[in-house]
Amino acid sequence: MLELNVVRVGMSEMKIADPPTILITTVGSCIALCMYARRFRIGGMVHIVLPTNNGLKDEGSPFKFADTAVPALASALISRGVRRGSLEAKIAGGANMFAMLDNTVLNIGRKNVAMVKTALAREGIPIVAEDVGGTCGRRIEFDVASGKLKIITIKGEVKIL
Amino acid sequence: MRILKDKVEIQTSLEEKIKYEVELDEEAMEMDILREIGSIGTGNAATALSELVQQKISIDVLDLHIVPPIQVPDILGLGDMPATVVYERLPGDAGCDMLLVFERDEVKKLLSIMMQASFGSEEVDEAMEATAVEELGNIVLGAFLSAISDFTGLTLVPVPPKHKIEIFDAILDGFLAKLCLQRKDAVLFKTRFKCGQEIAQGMLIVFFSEELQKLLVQKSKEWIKG
Repeated sequence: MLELNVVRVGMSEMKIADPPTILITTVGSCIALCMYARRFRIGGMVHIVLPTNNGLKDEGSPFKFADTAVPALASALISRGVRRGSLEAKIAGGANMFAMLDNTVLNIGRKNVAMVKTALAREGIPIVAEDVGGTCGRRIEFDVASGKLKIITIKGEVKIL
Repeated sequence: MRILKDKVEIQTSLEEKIKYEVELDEEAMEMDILREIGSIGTGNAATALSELVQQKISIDVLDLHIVPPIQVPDILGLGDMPATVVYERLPGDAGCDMLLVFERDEVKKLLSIMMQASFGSEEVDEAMEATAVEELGNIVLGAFLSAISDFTGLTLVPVPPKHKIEIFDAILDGFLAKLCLQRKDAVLFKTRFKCGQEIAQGMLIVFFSEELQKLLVQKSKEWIKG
């Protein structure tokens, strides 16, 4: 039996993996975008921080922004032999972590969700499951083999998408 | 002609070298100033915490990092630790974000000591915990701010802190996303408190805004020049 790999995906990072691999990350207002192709047994995750780099001095990595991370992840999977039409996406995150603070942070979570959805629609990739919004952080474990997402919160709630 | 050209080249490279070294000196001086401001603030915060829990507080680590915001989680290395975070955001351009972080289980020990010192009872229920932890933040973060206010002559008015029990990296990403919008590098000041022998360790993290950083450095330089 093959040993299970556990790989952490940091802020603004993208990881592509073959089974047996679990990709993990933790998000608050950020988004964990998981994309996979069941038939091709391959998947990837990107940890998105902001909706877009419009107006920012720092361009940074394309994986930092929703509008560039979505096509980058799709292209990376397609370059590994996956057919575009077989790609599916699951998203989690985009929480409003600081209800009592100013609106800047509040809007980041919501704007991230909106931009990820717009970019996925543009790429023609369906969102088959999502767990977004709310006020709690999420630890996400993405099983590349099954495409299943396990989401755990600080309160110990566990969701499987 | 050739000699003259060489001479000009040498002179240009020397000028560039001097300019580079002056820039390096300026950068090093700025780092020293920020580190000094951080330690003055932390010293005051530790004293305030020490008075509150009536125990000796030691400062374990004192670090200043200037790194892209996305590298901050690796530097702090707290990951998925369940944490109680008391946070305060000084609004405005010359603002900062301050976070006082305790491991979830350890904060209860600290609050018990606090309650014992103030009321003679170690009992801390959930409602009391919320009030006590924000009061703790109020005192410690307020002490940090008042020390750097006194040192630089800047008026930094504290606002009431809030607290959240959360997976540490999840709460951190909100602050970092905002920082990514505002500046290329995060100026991160990090220190660790240790109360007593086995009692709660805490971490104080401060992210300065670009404007506040500039003001702090400028005021400190004026103070140094007398």
